[in-house]
Amino acid sequence: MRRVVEVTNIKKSFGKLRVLDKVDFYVKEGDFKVIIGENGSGKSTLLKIMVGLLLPDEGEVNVLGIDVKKQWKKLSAKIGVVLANERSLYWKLTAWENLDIFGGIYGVPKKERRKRMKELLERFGLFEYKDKPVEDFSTGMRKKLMVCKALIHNPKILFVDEILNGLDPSSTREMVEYLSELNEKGLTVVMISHVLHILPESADVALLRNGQIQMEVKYKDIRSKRREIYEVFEKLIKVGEVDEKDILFSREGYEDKA
Amino acid sequence: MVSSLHLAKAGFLSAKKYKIDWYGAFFTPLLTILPVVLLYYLGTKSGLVQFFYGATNTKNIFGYLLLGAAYWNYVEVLWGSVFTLKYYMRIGQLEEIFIMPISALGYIFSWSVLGLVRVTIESVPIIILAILLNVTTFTLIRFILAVGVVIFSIIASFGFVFLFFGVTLSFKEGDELVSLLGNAAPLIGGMFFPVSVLPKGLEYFAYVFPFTWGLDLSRHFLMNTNTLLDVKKELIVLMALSFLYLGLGVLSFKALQTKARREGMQGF
Repeated sequence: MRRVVEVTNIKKSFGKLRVLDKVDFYVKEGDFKVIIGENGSGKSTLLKIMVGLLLPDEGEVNVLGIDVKKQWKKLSAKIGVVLANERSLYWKLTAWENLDIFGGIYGVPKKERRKRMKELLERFGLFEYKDKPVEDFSTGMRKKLMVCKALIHNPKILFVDEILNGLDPSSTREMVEYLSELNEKGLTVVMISHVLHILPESADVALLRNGQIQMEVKYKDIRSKRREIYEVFEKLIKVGEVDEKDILFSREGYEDKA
Repeated sequence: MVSSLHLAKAGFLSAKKYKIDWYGAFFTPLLTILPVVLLYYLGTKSGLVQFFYGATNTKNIFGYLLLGAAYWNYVEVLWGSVFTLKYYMRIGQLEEIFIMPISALGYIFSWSVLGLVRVTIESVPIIILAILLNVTTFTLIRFILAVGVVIFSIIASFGFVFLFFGVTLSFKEGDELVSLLGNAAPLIGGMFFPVSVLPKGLEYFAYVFPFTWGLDLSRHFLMNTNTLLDVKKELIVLMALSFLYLGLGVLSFKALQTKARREGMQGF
């Protein structure tokens, strides 16, 4: 599979604070990549650099063959982005109006747009609420609508920032199932998440620590018969490594960059 | 441009849902005309109105002030756009807006169009009243010329405001500077009295504003008032300022985007 995201030697500081320090990271077509790390480790900064919202101080970013630093507007029509801020929707408008407007902004022809809006709202269980204003939606419904919005123009890659935060257990499961289903149909997904116990089996987990991607492992490999999965992740995120006994399967083909 | 039309549509639909905005719009003509009536009454009593007769070439100072007020409603929309952008920044929506496939010019257009349509609806009764007071000088051609001048000067003014917006984001006192200029501009830009009666320093300062020229010319076409320069020369100045400020506004907006991409929205 070809690399659809290539981040090379990225450095990024805000004032004197160095957030990213020589980050090398790639995503292959069809991957479900989850970036994990402590609060303030630079996950959102890295995601924003990948979509063009932030410029790195040094290094190169290439997504779908596009130089993101220079042609971020060209890229924006080809990717879907869900930022952590729920205010990305127009709260006074209905779900239907929101999708219609964003579909129009992303250049989806009217007939195709209406069809896609219906499909997405049905798939995310929101069709019966399509005429309700977003301000009346629950957090879970808003987050589902944010994903619908990001998918309205049929992007090739979906970038998602902490979409699972604030969701109840069943909404979390639903959301992961939706994303997993989209991934199985060929959509590349790059997600930031602190919710780690329920990721898709096919996901790859990249650990961002001390400004660098320190480790990349298959999610399904990080399972333990000895401990709760949260304990394993807690240690992974804090210390930057896991005990060999907590890794059930082979890590062949994965790089340990620590 | 199609994308920015959809962004403008979002503005229209949101404004429609905030019903209070439209009730406010209904009362705006009344709220604009009342102070003008008061100003005219007091100005006549104090002799201030007579003072301006010579400078304006019209005895219809009431119509003169009304047109100034109607025009100024448009200028107010410009400052409103700056505060809307700052609101988007505060709630974190600007980041989401930046990521859309819309050009700098497209953003300026989409944020302006709602305000302009709204203010046009609000200003229609005022403009009709001003025209009724000037039936002797009113012709269709002169009206069309006045509309053209307003459109050009508003384009220039939007460029000017976006240029100013970019500049004000560079330092913390930006909001205060926008307020100061917004409050001072009607006095300097000719809303209440001709720019020619200002002290020389302020008069030259007023020439920097595109709305000074727009107001001067639109009054001339509707009321046959004196102009600051020869009409043809003034039209050229207005055109030149329109393109200059629009270009500078787009550059300023692009600079703002680059700054936001370097420092993040929290960097402002």
